[in-house]
Amino acid sequence: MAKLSMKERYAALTRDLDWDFDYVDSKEVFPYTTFEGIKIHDWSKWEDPFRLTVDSYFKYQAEKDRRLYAVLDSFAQSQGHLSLHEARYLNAMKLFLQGVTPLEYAAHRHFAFLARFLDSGGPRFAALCQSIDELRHAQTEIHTLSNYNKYYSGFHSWPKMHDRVWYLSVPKSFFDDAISSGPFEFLTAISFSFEYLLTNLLFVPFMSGASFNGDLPTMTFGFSAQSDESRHMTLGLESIRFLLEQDPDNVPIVQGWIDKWFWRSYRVTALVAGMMDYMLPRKVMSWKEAFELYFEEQMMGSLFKDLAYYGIRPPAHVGDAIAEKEHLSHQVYWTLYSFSFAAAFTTTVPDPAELEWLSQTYPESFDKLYRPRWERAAEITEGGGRFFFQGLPQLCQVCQIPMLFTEPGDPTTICQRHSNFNGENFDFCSDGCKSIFDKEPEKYIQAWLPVHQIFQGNCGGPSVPEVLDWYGIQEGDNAEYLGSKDNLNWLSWHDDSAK
Amino acid sequence: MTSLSSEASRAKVRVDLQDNDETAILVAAIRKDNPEVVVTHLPGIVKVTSPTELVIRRESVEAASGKTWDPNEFQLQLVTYYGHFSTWDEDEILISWPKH
Repeated sequence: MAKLSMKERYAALTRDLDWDFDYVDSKEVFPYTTFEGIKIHDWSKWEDPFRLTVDSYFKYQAEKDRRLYAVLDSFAQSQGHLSLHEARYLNAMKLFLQGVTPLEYAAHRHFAFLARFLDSGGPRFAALCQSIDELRHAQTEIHTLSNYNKYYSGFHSWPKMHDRVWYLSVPKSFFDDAISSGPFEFLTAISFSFEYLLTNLLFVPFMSGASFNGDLPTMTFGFSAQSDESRHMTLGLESIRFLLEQDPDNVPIVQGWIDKWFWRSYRVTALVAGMMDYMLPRKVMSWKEAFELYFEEQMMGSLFKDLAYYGIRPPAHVGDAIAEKEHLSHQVYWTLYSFSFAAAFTTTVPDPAELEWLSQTYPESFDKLYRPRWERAAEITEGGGRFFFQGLPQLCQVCQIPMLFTEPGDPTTICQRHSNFNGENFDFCSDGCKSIFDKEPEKYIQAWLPVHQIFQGNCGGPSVPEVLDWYGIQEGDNAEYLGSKDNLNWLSWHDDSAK
Repeated sequence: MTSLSSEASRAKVRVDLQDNDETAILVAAIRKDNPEVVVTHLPGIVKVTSPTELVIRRESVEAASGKTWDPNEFQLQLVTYYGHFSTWDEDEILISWPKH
Protein backbone atom coordinates (compact mmCIF):
# COMPACT_ATOMS: atom_id res chain seq x y z
CA MET A 1 0.00 0.00 0.00
CA ALA A 2 1.35 3.40 -0.96
CA LYS A 3 2.11 5.88 1.76
CA LEU A 4 -0.68 8.44 2.26
CA SER A 5 0.01 12.04 1.29
CA MET A 6 -0.07 14.79 3.93
CA LYS A 7 -3.52 15.80 2.73
CA GLU A 8 -4.83 12.24 2.88
CA ARG A 9 -3.38 11.61 6.33
CA TYR A 10 -4.94 14.80 7.63
CA ALA A 11 -8.31 13.89 6.12
CA ALA A 12 -8.10 10.43 7.63
CA LEU A 13 -7.42 11.87 11.07
CA THR A 14 -9.95 14.68 11.11
CA ARG A 15 -12.74 13.21 8.99
CA ASP A 16 -12.52 9.42 8.84
CA LEU A 17 -11.86 9.00 12.55
CA ASP A 18 -14.77 11.26 13.46
CA TRP A 19 -18.30 9.89 13.82
CA ASP A 20 -21.92 11.05 14.08
CA PHE A 21 -23.99 10.25 17.14
CA ASP A 22 -27.02 8.04 16.61
CA TYR A 23 -27.94 7.24 20.21
CA VAL A 24 -27.92 10.78 21.54
CA ASP A 25 -28.81 14.21 20.13
CA SER A 26 -25.66 16.01 18.97
CA LYS A 27 -26.92 19.16 20.74
CA GLU A 28 -26.43 17.34 24.03
CA VAL A 29 -22.88 16.43 23.06
CA PHE A 30 -22.02 19.94 21.82
CA PRO A 31 -24.23 22.24 23.90
CA TYR A 32 -22.23 25.47 23.56
CA THR A 33 -22.05 26.16 19.83
CA THR A 34 -25.55 27.57 19.22
CA PHE A 35 -26.36 30.15 21.93
CA GLU A 36 -24.15 32.88 20.49
CA GLY A 37 -26.32 33.04 17.37
CA ILE A 38 -23.58 31.77 15.04
CA LYS A 39 -24.92 29.55 12.26
CA ILE A 40 -22.74 26.69 11.00
CA HIS A 41 -24.10 24.68 8.06
CA ASP A 42 -21.11 22.58 7.08
CA TRP A 43 -18.28 21.91 9.52
CA SER A 44 -16.34 20.01 6.85
CA LYS A 45 -15.51 23.35 5.20
CA TRP A 46 -13.07 24.05 8.08
CA GLU A 47 -9.54 24.21 6.66
CA ASP A 48 -6.25 23.82 8.50
CA PRO A 49 -3.42 24.74 6.11
CA PHE A 50 -0.85 23.07 8.38
CA ARG A 51 -2.64 19.70 8.05
CA LEU A 52 -0.95 18.50 11.19
CA THR A 53 -1.29 14.91 12.27
CA VAL A 54 -0.39 13.39 15.62
CA ASP A 55 2.96 11.98 14.50
CA SER A 56 4.22 15.16 12.89
CA TYR A 57 2.91 17.34 15.72
CA PHE A 58 4.84 15.46 18.40
CA LYS A 59 7.92 14.98 16.23
CA TYR A 60 8.43 18.71 15.71
CA GLN A 61 7.35 19.76 19.18
CA ALA A 62 9.87 17.36 20.69
CA GLU A 63 12.58 18.80 18.46
CA LYS A 64 11.68 22.35 19.56
CA ASP A 65 11.94 21.31 23.22
CA ARG A 66 15.27 19.55 22.66
CA ARG A 67 16.74 22.70 21.16
CA LEU A 68 15.46 24.84 24.02
CA TYR A 69 16.74 22.57 26.78
CA ALA A 70 20.18 22.41 25.18
CA VAL A 71 20.34 26.21 25.50
CA LEU A 72 19.05 26.17 29.09
CA ASP A 73 21.74 23.69 30.09
CA SER A 74 24.53 25.73 28.60
CA PHE A 75 23.09 28.89 30.18
CA ALA A 76 23.20 27.35 33.66
CA GLN A 77 26.64 25.84 33.07
CA SER A 78 28.18 29.07 31.81
CA GLN A 79 27.00 31.48 34.56
CA GLY A 80 24.53 32.92 32.06
CA HIS A 81 22.92 35.18 34.65
CA LEU A 82 26.05 37.38 34.45
CA SER A 83 26.05 37.81 30.69
CA LEU A 84 23.04 40.12 30.39
CA HIS A 85 23.62 43.59 29.03
CA GLU A 86 22.37 45.02 32.33
CA ALA A 87 20.35 43.66 35.29
CA ARG A 88 17.70 46.34 34.78
CA TYR A 89 16.67 44.54 31.59
CA LEU A 90 15.11 41.76 33.68
CA ASN A 91 12.24 44.04 34.68
CA ALA A 92 10.81 43.27 31.25
CA MET A 93 11.02 39.54 32.01
CA LYS A 94 9.43 39.96 35.43
CA LEU A 95 6.50 41.66 33.75
CA PHE A 96 6.39 38.83 31.22
CA LEU A 97 6.43 36.04 33.82
CA GLN A 98 3.86 37.73 36.05
CA GLY A 99 1.59 38.95 33.27
CA VAL A 100 1.88 36.64 30.27
CA THR A 101 2.87 33.15 31.48
CA PRO A 102 -0.36 32.70 33.49
CA LEU A 103 -2.28 33.59 30.32
CA GLU A 104 -0.55 30.72 28.53
CA TYR A 105 -1.83 28.37 31.19
CA ALA A 106 -5.34 29.83 31.00
CA ALA A 107 -5.20 29.39 27.22
CA HIS A 108 -4.12 25.77 27.68
CA ARG A 109 -7.22 25.13 29.79
CA HIS A 110 -9.65 26.85 27.47
CA PHE A 111 -8.33 25.25 24.29
CA ALA A 112 -8.71 21.89 26.03
CA PHE A 113 -12.36 22.85 26.53
CA LEU A 114 -12.70 23.69 22.82
CA ALA A 115 -10.95 20.44 21.90
CA ARG A 116 -13.89 18.71 23.56
CA PHE A 117 -16.80 20.98 22.67
CA LEU A 118 -16.37 22.10 19.05
CA ASP A 119 -18.62 20.02 16.78
CA SER A 120 -16.10 18.73 14.29
CA GLY A 121 -12.84 16.78 14.18
CA GLY A 122 -10.75 19.36 12.28
CA PRO A 123 -11.24 22.29 14.67
CA ARG A 124 -11.14 19.98 17.68
CA PHE A 125 -7.73 18.67 16.66
CA ALA A 126 -6.42 22.19 16.01
CA ALA A 127 -7.68 23.21 19.48
CA LEU A 128 -6.07 20.13 21.04
CA CYS A 129 -2.69 20.93 19.50
CA GLN A 130 -2.98 24.52 20.67
CA SER A 131 -3.95 23.40 24.17
CA ILE A 132 -0.78 21.28 24.38
CA ASP A 133 1.27 24.12 22.87
CA GLU A 134 0.05 26.56 25.50
CA LEU A 135 0.92 24.18 28.31
CA ARG A 136 4.38 23.78 26.79
CA HIS A 137 4.77 27.55 26.64
CA ALA A 138 3.78 27.99 30.28
CA GLN A 139 6.18 25.24 31.36
CA THR A 140 9.13 26.35 29.26
CA GLU A 141 8.72 29.99 30.30
CA ILE A 142 8.60 29.04 33.98
CA HIS A 143 11.54 26.69 33.58
CA THR A 144 13.63 29.23 31.67
CA LEU A 145 13.01 32.15 33.98
CA SER A 146 13.49 30.02 37.10
CA ASN A 147 17.21 30.26 36.32
CA TYR A 148 17.02 34.00 37.07
CA ASN A 149 14.98 33.43 40.22
CA LYS A 150 18.12 32.01 41.82
CA TYR A 151 19.92 35.35 41.49
CA TYR A 152 17.37 38.17 41.01
CA SER A 153 14.35 39.65 42.78
CA GLY A 154 10.77 39.69 41.54
CA PHE A 155 10.58 36.20 40.00
CA HIS A 156 9.28 34.26 43.00
CA SER A 157 5.51 34.59 43.52
CA TRP A 158 4.11 35.31 40.09
CA PRO A 159 0.98 33.07 40.22
CA LYS A 160 -0.16 34.76 43.43
CA MET A 161 0.77 38.17 42.04
CA HIS A 162 -1.13 37.51 38.82
CA ASP A 163 -4.30 36.98 40.87
CA ARG A 164 -3.80 39.98 43.15
CA VAL A 165 -1.53 42.81 41.96
CA TRP A 166 -3.10 45.91 40.39
CA TYR A 167 -1.24 46.08 37.03
CA LEU A 168 -1.58 42.32 36.55
CA SER A 169 -5.36 42.51 36.76
CA VAL A 170 -5.08 44.06 33.28
CA PRO A 171 -4.00 40.83 31.51
CA LYS A 172 -5.86 38.60 33.97
CA SER A 173 -9.24 40.30 33.55
CA PHE A 174 -8.72 40.40 29.78
CA PHE A 175 -8.34 36.64 29.62
CA ASP A 176 -11.11 35.98 32.17
CA ASP A 177 -13.37 38.04 29.93
CA ALA A 178 -12.48 35.83 26.96
CA ILE A 179 -12.88 32.45 28.67
CA SER A 180 -16.24 33.45 30.10
CA SER A 181 -17.50 34.09 26.54
CA GLY A 182 -18.95 31.52 24.18
CA PRO A 183 -16.60 29.39 22.04
CA PHE A 184 -16.87 31.46 18.87
CA GLU A 185 -16.37 34.72 20.71
CA PHE A 186 -13.35 33.17 22.43
CA LEU A 187 -11.86 32.21 19.05
CA THR A 188 -12.45 35.75 17.76
CA ALA A 189 -11.02 37.20 20.97
CA ILE A 190 -7.93 35.11 21.52
CA SER A 191 -7.13 33.34 18.26
CA PHE A 192 -7.98 36.19 15.93
CA SER A 193 -7.78 39.52 17.77
CA PHE A 194 -5.05 38.72 20.28
CA GLU A 195 -2.99 36.15 18.35
CA TYR A 196 -3.45 37.22 14.76
CA LEU A 197 -3.87 40.99 15.02
CA LEU A 198 -1.56 41.72 17.92
CA THR A 199 0.67 38.72 18.75
CA ASN A 200 3.58 40.25 16.88
CA LEU A 201 3.40 43.34 19.03
CA LEU A 202 3.43 41.20 22.15
CA PHE A 203 6.03 38.53 21.42
CA VAL A 204 8.39 39.71 18.75
CA PRO A 205 9.50 42.84 20.71
CA PHE A 206 10.04 40.75 23.85
CA MET A 207 12.10 38.19 21.96
CA SER A 208 14.15 40.58 19.88
CA GLY A 209 14.62 42.61 23.06
CA ALA A 210 15.92 39.49 24.80
CA SER A 211 18.30 38.82 21.93
CA PHE A 212 19.58 42.39 21.94
CA ASN A 213 20.04 42.51 25.73
CA GLY A 214 22.02 39.29 26.08
CA ASP A 215 19.20 37.07 27.35
CA LEU A 216 19.81 33.93 25.32
CA PRO A 217 17.39 31.54 27.08
CA THR A 218 14.43 33.92 26.85
CA MET A 219 15.13 34.51 23.20
CA THR A 220 15.19 30.75 22.67
CA PHE A 221 11.94 29.97 24.50
CA GLY A 222 10.39 32.94 22.77
CA PHE A 223 11.23 31.71 19.31
CA SER A 224 10.28 28.18 20.29
CA ALA A 225 6.86 29.38 21.46
CA GLN A 226 6.51 31.77 18.56
CA SER A 227 6.91 28.97 16.03
CA ASP A 228 3.70 27.50 17.52
CA GLU A 229 2.21 30.97 17.42
CA SER A 230 2.24 30.87 13.62
CA ARG A 231 -0.15 27.93 13.81
CA HIS A 232 -2.27 29.80 16.35
CA MET A 233 -2.44 32.84 14.09
CA THR A 234 -3.58 30.55 11.31
CA LEU A 235 -6.29 29.07 13.53
CA GLY A 236 -7.46 32.63 14.25
CA LEU A 237 -7.61 33.64 10.61
CA GLU A 238 -9.22 30.37 9.50
CA SER A 239 -11.84 30.61 12.27
CA ILE A 240 -12.87 34.07 11.15
CA ARG A 241 -13.04 33.09 7.48
CA PHE A 242 -15.00 29.97 8.33
CA LEU A 243 -17.58 31.87 10.40
CA LEU A 244 -17.96 34.55 7.73
CA GLU A 245 -18.33 32.04 4.91
CA GLN A 246 -20.86 29.85 6.71
CA ASP A 247 -23.73 32.35 6.90
CA PRO A 248 -24.23 36.07 6.19
CA ASP A 249 -26.00 36.38 9.56
CA ASN A 250 -22.67 35.66 11.23
CA VAL A 251 -21.07 38.80 9.78
CA PRO A 252 -22.56 41.43 12.16
CA ILE A 253 -21.93 39.18 15.18
CA VAL A 254 -18.28 38.68 14.22
CA GLN A 255 -17.89 42.40 13.46
CA GLY A 256 -19.12 43.23 16.98
CA TRP A 257 -16.58 40.81 18.45
CA ILE A 258 -13.74 42.20 16.33
CA ASP A 259 -14.64 45.74 17.47
CA LYS A 260 -14.66 44.66 21.11
CA TRP A 261 -11.65 42.39 21.10
CA PHE A 262 -9.38 44.59 19.04
CA TRP A 263 -9.76 47.27 21.68
CA ARG A 264 -9.49 44.85 24.63
CA SER A 265 -6.30 43.31 23.15
CA TYR A 266 -4.85 46.66 22.17
CA ARG A 267 -5.27 48.00 25.73
CA VAL A 268 -3.32 44.97 27.10
CA THR A 269 -0.46 45.78 24.72
CA ALA A 270 -0.17 49.21 26.41
CA LEU A 271 1.99 47.44 29.00
CA VAL A 272 4.20 46.14 26.17
CA ALA A 273 4.53 49.67 24.82
CA GLY A 274 5.92 50.88 28.15
CA MET A 275 8.20 47.86 28.34
CA MET A 276 9.66 48.33 24.85
CA ASP A 277 10.45 52.01 25.08
CA TYR A 278 11.62 52.14 28.70
CA MET A 279 12.44 48.74 30.24
CA LEU A 280 14.85 47.49 27.58
CA PRO A 281 18.23 49.17 28.16
CA ARG A 282 19.15 48.42 24.56
CA LYS A 283 16.24 49.29 22.28
CA VAL A 284 15.29 47.12 19.32
CA MET A 285 12.57 49.27 17.84
CA SER A 286 10.18 51.72 19.36
CA TRP A 287 6.54 50.97 20.15
CA LYS A 288 5.57 53.40 17.42
CA GLU A 289 7.70 51.64 14.79
CA ALA A 290 6.42 48.21 15.85
CA PHE A 291 2.83 49.43 15.77
CA GLU A 292 3.30 50.91 12.31
CA LEU A 293 4.95 47.78 10.96
CA TYR A 294 2.96 45.01 12.60
CA PHE A 295 -0.40 46.69 12.91
CA GLU A 296 -0.82 49.54 10.47
CA GLU A 297 1.06 48.04 7.55
CA GLN A 298 0.27 44.36 7.96
CA MET A 299 -3.21 44.38 9.48
CA MET A 300 -4.77 47.59 8.26
CA GLY A 301 -2.87 47.54 4.97
CA SER A 302 -3.65 43.97 3.94
CA LEU A 303 -5.74 41.87 6.29
CA PHE A 304 -8.70 44.22 6.53
CA LYS A 305 -8.65 44.81 2.79
CA ASP A 306 -8.97 41.05 2.41
CA LEU A 307 -11.75 40.78 5.02
CA ALA A 308 -13.70 43.59 3.31
CA TYR A 309 -14.68 40.92 0.80
CA TYR A 310 -16.85 39.37 3.52
CA GLY A 311 -18.32 42.72 4.61
CA ILE A 312 -15.96 43.21 7.56
CA ARG A 313 -14.63 46.72 8.21
CA PRO A 314 -11.62 47.67 10.37
CA PRO A 315 -12.31 47.59 14.13
CA ALA A 316 -14.15 50.48 15.78
CA HIS A 317 -11.85 52.97 17.57
CA VAL A 318 -8.83 51.87 15.52
CA GLY A 319 -8.29 55.56 14.71
CA ASP A 320 -7.89 56.34 18.42
CA ALA A 321 -5.21 53.64 18.69
CA ILE A 322 -3.30 55.02 15.72
CA ALA A 323 -3.61 58.57 17.01
CA GLU A 324 -2.10 57.77 20.40
CA LYS A 325 1.00 55.91 19.18
CA GLU A 326 3.16 59.00 19.91
CA HIS A 327 1.97 59.04 23.53
CA LEU A 328 1.05 55.57 24.71
CA SER A 329 4.38 54.25 26.01
CA HIS A 330 5.30 57.51 27.77
CA GLN A 331 2.00 57.76 29.60
CA VAL A 332 2.05 54.10 30.63
CA TYR A 333 5.64 54.01 31.82
CA TRP A 334 5.29 57.27 33.75
CA THR A 335 2.43 55.61 35.64
CA LEU A 336 4.51 52.49 36.30
CA TYR A 337 7.36 54.72 37.49
CA SER A 338 5.02 56.63 39.81
CA PHE A 339 3.52 53.49 41.35
CA SER A 340 6.43 51.05 41.28
CA PHE A 341 6.62 51.02 45.10
CA ALA A 342 3.62 48.71 44.71
CA ALA A 343 4.97 46.64 41.78
CA ALA A 344 7.05 43.48 41.57
CA PHE A 345 9.56 45.18 39.30
CA THR A 346 11.69 48.30 39.59
CA THR A 347 11.74 51.46 37.49
CA THR A 348 14.18 54.30 37.01
CA VAL A 349 14.59 57.57 35.13
CA PRO A 350 15.87 56.89 31.58
CA ASP A 351 19.57 57.72 31.28
CA PRO A 352 20.71 60.61 29.03
CA ALA A 353 21.31 58.35 26.01
CA GLU A 354 17.83 56.88 26.38
CA LEU A 355 16.26 60.32 26.69
CA GLU A 356 18.01 61.26 23.46
CA TRP A 357 16.71 58.12 21.74
CA LEU A 358 13.17 58.83 22.93
CA SER A 359 13.44 62.37 21.71
CA GLN A 360 14.59 61.26 18.25
CA THR A 361 12.06 58.44 18.01
CA TYR A 362 9.12 60.55 19.17
CA PRO A 363 9.87 63.98 17.71
CA GLU A 364 6.21 65.05 17.85
CA SER A 365 5.69 64.46 21.53
CA PHE A 366 8.65 63.60 23.72
CA ASP A 367 10.58 66.83 24.22
CA LYS A 368 7.45 68.91 24.59
CA LEU A 369 5.36 66.70 26.86
CA TYR A 370 7.35 63.92 28.48
CA ARG A 371 10.99 64.94 28.81
CA PRO A 372 10.14 67.67 31.37
CA ARG A 373 8.60 65.05 33.67
CA TRP A 374 11.76 62.94 33.58
CA GLU A 375 13.94 65.98 34.19
CA ARG A 376 11.84 66.84 37.23
CA ALA A 377 11.98 63.24 38.48
CA ALA A 378 15.77 63.26 38.02
CA GLU A 379 16.05 66.49 40.04
CA ILE A 380 14.10 64.94 42.89
CA THR A 381 16.39 61.89 42.79
CA GLU A 382 19.52 64.07 42.77
CA GLY A 383 18.19 65.79 45.88
CA GLY A 384 18.08 62.43 47.61
CA GLY A 385 14.35 61.81 47.10
CA ARG A 386 12.29 59.67 44.75
CA PHE A 387 8.97 60.66 43.25
CA PHE A 388 6.17 58.19 43.98
CA PHE A 389 2.52 58.97 43.59
CA GLN A 390 0.81 58.97 46.97
CA GLY A 391 -2.68 57.54 46.75
CA LEU A 392 -4.54 55.09 44.58
CA PRO A 393 -5.52 55.68 40.95
CA GLN A 394 -9.00 55.49 39.43
CA LEU A 395 -9.14 52.37 37.26
CA CYS A 396 -11.04 51.88 34.03
CA GLN A 397 -13.97 49.53 34.66
CA VAL A 398 -13.23 47.54 31.47
CA CYS A 399 -9.46 47.36 30.81
CA GLN A 400 -8.58 47.98 34.50
CA ILE A 401 -5.64 50.22 33.56
CA PRO A 402 -5.37 53.36 35.71
CA MET A 403 -7.10 56.23 33.90
CA LEU A 404 -3.87 57.63 32.53
CA PHE A 405 -4.66 58.03 28.83
CA THR A 406 -5.31 61.45 27.34
CA GLU A 407 -8.10 62.77 25.13
CA PRO A 408 -7.77 61.93 21.43
CA GLY A 409 -6.17 65.02 19.92
CA ASP A 410 -5.40 66.66 23.29
CA PRO A 411 -2.44 65.08 25.10
CA THR A 412 -2.71 67.48 28.06
CA THR A 413 -6.19 66.41 29.22
CA ILE A 414 -6.90 63.04 30.83
CA CYS A 415 -9.65 61.18 29.01
CA GLN A 416 -12.57 60.25 31.27
CA ARG A 417 -15.81 58.63 30.18
CA HIS A 418 -18.71 57.58 32.37
CA SER A 419 -21.84 55.44 32.20
CA ASN A 420 -24.65 55.00 34.66
CA PHE A 421 -26.08 51.53 35.10
CA ASN A 422 -28.80 50.72 37.65
CA GLY A 423 -28.10 53.96 39.49
CA GLU A 424 -24.34 53.40 39.81
CA ASN A 425 -21.59 55.35 38.03
CA PHE A 426 -18.82 53.57 36.15
CA ASP A 427 -15.65 55.16 34.74
CA PHE A 428 -13.68 54.40 31.58
CA CYS A 429 -10.34 55.40 30.10
CA SER A 430 -11.59 55.75 26.52
CA ASP A 431 -14.51 55.62 24.13
CA GLY A 432 -13.38 52.08 23.24
CA CYS A 433 -13.74 50.79 26.79
CA LYS A 434 -16.99 52.69 27.41
CA SER A 435 -18.66 51.23 24.33
CA ILE A 436 -17.64 47.71 25.43
CA PHE A 437 -19.25 48.31 28.84
CA ASP A 438 -22.41 49.81 27.36
CA LYS A 439 -23.06 46.68 25.28
CA GLU A 440 -22.64 44.23 28.21
CA PRO A 441 -22.93 46.17 31.47
CA GLU A 442 -24.09 43.10 33.42
CA LYS A 443 -20.72 41.48 32.71
CA TYR A 444 -18.41 44.38 33.52
CA ILE A 445 -20.10 45.54 36.73
CA GLN A 446 -18.71 42.30 38.18
CA ALA A 447 -15.10 43.34 37.52
CA TRP A 448 -12.64 42.73 40.38
CA LEU A 449 -10.94 46.12 40.44
CA PRO A 450 -7.78 46.07 42.57
CA VAL A 451 -8.16 49.63 43.87
CA HIS A 452 -11.81 49.14 44.86
CA GLN A 453 -10.84 45.89 46.54
CA ILE A 454 -8.18 47.64 48.64
CA PHE A 455 -10.75 50.23 49.75
CA GLN A 456 -13.22 47.48 50.55
CA GLY A 457 -10.66 45.88 52.88
CA ASN A 458 -10.11 42.73 50.81
CA CYS A 459 -6.36 43.08 50.21
CA GLY A 460 -4.58 42.47 53.50
CA GLY A 461 -5.28 45.77 55.19
CA PRO A 462 -5.46 49.53 54.72
CA SER A 463 -1.72 50.37 54.68
CA VAL A 464 0.79 50.03 51.85
CA PRO A 465 2.98 47.47 53.70
CA GLU A 466 -0.05 45.30 54.44
CA VAL A 467 -1.18 45.37 50.81
CA LEU A 468 2.35 44.61 49.55
CA ASP A 469 2.56 41.69 51.94
CA TRP A 470 -0.77 40.38 50.64
CA TYR A 471 0.51 40.83 47.06
CA GLY A 472 3.56 38.68 47.89
CA ILE A 473 5.96 41.55 47.14
CA GLN A 474 9.19 41.36 49.15
CA GLU A 475 11.93 43.86 49.89
CA GLY A 476 14.02 44.27 46.72
CA ASP A 477 11.22 43.40 44.30
CA ASN A 478 9.78 46.88 44.02
CA ALA A 479 10.41 50.65 43.81
CA GLU A 480 13.58 52.30 42.39
CA TYR A 481 16.12 50.30 40.42
CA LEU A 482 19.21 52.34 41.32
CA GLY A 483 20.38 51.13 44.71
CA SER A 484 18.04 48.12 44.62
CA LYS A 485 19.16 44.63 45.58
CA ASP A 486 19.46 43.62 41.89
CA ASN A 487 21.44 46.75 41.04
CA LEU A 488 23.87 46.33 43.98
CA ASN A 489 24.35 42.61 43.31
CA TRP A 490 25.00 43.30 39.64
CA LEU A 491 27.64 45.90 40.48
CA SER A 492 29.38 43.61 42.94
CA TRP A 493 29.33 40.65 40.50
CA HIS A 494 30.99 42.83 37.87
CA ASP A 495 33.42 44.64 40.17
CA ASP A 496 36.81 43.48 38.87
CA SER A 497 38.73 45.34 41.59
CA ALA A 498 37.25 43.06 44.24
CA LYS A 499 38.62 39.90 42.60
CA MET B 1 -0.18 55.01 6.38
CA THR B 2 0.62 55.99 2.86
CA SER B 3 1.28 52.35 2.03
CA LEU B 4 -2.46 51.66 2.46
CA SER B 5 -3.32 53.26 -0.82
CA SER B 6 -0.99 51.22 -3.03
CA GLU B 7 -2.08 47.90 -4.46
CA ALA B 8 1.47 46.60 -4.00
CA SER B 9 0.96 46.71 -0.25
CA ARG B 10 -2.29 44.76 -0.62
CA ALA B 11 -0.48 41.71 -1.91
CA LYS B 12 2.68 41.85 0.17
CA VAL B 13 3.54 38.77 2.27
CA ARG B 14 6.32 38.16 4.79
CA VAL B 15 7.91 35.47 6.93
CA ASP B 16 10.06 36.16 10.00
CA LEU B 17 12.60 33.38 10.57
CA GLN B 18 15.05 32.60 13.35
CA ASP B 19 18.49 33.86 12.42
CA ASN B 20 20.56 30.65 12.19
CA ASP B 21 22.34 28.36 9.71
CA GLU B 22 19.22 26.48 8.65
CA THR B 23 17.53 29.78 7.88
CA ALA B 24 20.51 30.83 5.77
CA ILE B 25 19.91 27.74 3.60
CA LEU B 26 16.19 28.45 3.42
CA VAL B 27 16.82 32.06 2.45
CA ALA B 28 19.14 30.94 -0.36
CA ALA B 29 16.43 28.63 -1.68
CA ILE B 30 13.74 31.30 -1.29
CA ARG B 31 15.84 33.85 -3.18
CA LYS B 32 16.30 31.43 -6.06
CA ASP B 33 12.55 30.85 -6.46
CA ASN B 34 11.42 34.38 -5.51
CA PRO B 35 13.91 36.82 -7.04
CA GLU B 36 11.91 39.83 -5.86
CA VAL B 37 12.14 39.17 -2.10
CA VAL B 38 13.74 41.70 0.22
CA VAL B 39 15.68 40.33 3.20
CA THR B 40 16.07 42.48 6.34
CA HIS B 41 17.25 41.80 9.90
CA LEU B 42 16.17 42.41 13.49
CA PRO B 43 18.12 41.02 16.46
CA GLY B 44 17.72 37.24 16.19
CA ILE B 45 15.32 37.49 13.26
CA VAL B 46 15.55 37.44 9.47
CA LYS B 47 12.56 39.01 7.73
CA VAL B 48 11.82 37.89 4.17
CA THR B 49 9.29 40.09 2.39
CA SER B 50 7.81 39.46 -1.03
CA PRO B 51 5.85 42.08 -2.96
CA THR B 52 3.47 39.42 -4.27
CA GLU B 53 3.63 35.88 -2.98
CA LEU B 54 6.31 33.66 -1.54
CA VAL B 55 7.00 30.04 -2.43
CA ILE B 56 9.34 27.64 -0.63
CA ARG B 57 10.08 24.54 -2.73
CA ARG B 58 11.35 21.33 -1.22
CA GLU B 59 13.57 20.65 -4.26
CA SER B 60 15.27 24.02 -3.96
CA VAL B 61 15.87 23.68 -0.23
CA GLU B 62 17.28 20.18 -0.75
CA ALA B 63 19.53 21.45 -3.54
CA ALA B 64 20.81 24.24 -1.30
CA SER B 65 21.43 22.02 1.74
CA GLY B 66 22.41 18.74 0.06
CA LYS B 67 20.06 16.72 2.27
CA THR B 68 16.40 15.76 2.37
CA TRP B 69 13.95 18.34 3.71
CA ASP B 70 10.38 17.90 4.90
CA PRO B 71 8.35 21.13 4.55
CA ASN B 72 7.10 20.57 8.11
CA GLU B 73 10.64 21.42 9.21
CA PHE B 74 9.82 24.97 8.19
CA GLN B 75 7.90 25.23 11.48
CA LEU B 76 11.18 25.03 13.37
CA GLN B 77 12.47 28.24 11.76
CA LEU B 78 9.22 30.21 11.53
CA VAL B 79 8.80 33.00 14.09
CA THR B 80 5.81 34.74 12.56
CA TYR B 81 4.30 35.49 9.19
CA TYR B 82 1.97 37.80 7.43
CA GLY B 83 -0.33 36.58 4.70
CA HIS B 84 -2.05 33.25 4.29
CA PHE B 85 -0.74 29.70 3.81
CA SER B 86 -2.42 28.86 0.51
CA THR B 87 -0.49 25.61 0.08
CA TRP B 88 1.46 23.48 2.56
CA ASP B 89 2.14 20.00 1.24
CA GLU B 90 5.02 17.57 0.58
CA ASP B 91 6.53 19.68 -2.16
CA GLU B 92 5.95 23.32 -1.40
CA ILE B 93 4.71 26.02 0.91
CA LEU B 94 2.95 28.96 -0.74
CA ILE B 95 2.13 32.14 1.16
CA SER B 96 -0.23 34.54 -0.60
CA TRP B 97 -3.41 36.46 0.04
CA PRO B 98 -6.45 34.56 -1.22
CA LYS B 99 -7.87 35.62 -4.56
CA HIS B 100 -11.64 36.02 -4.11
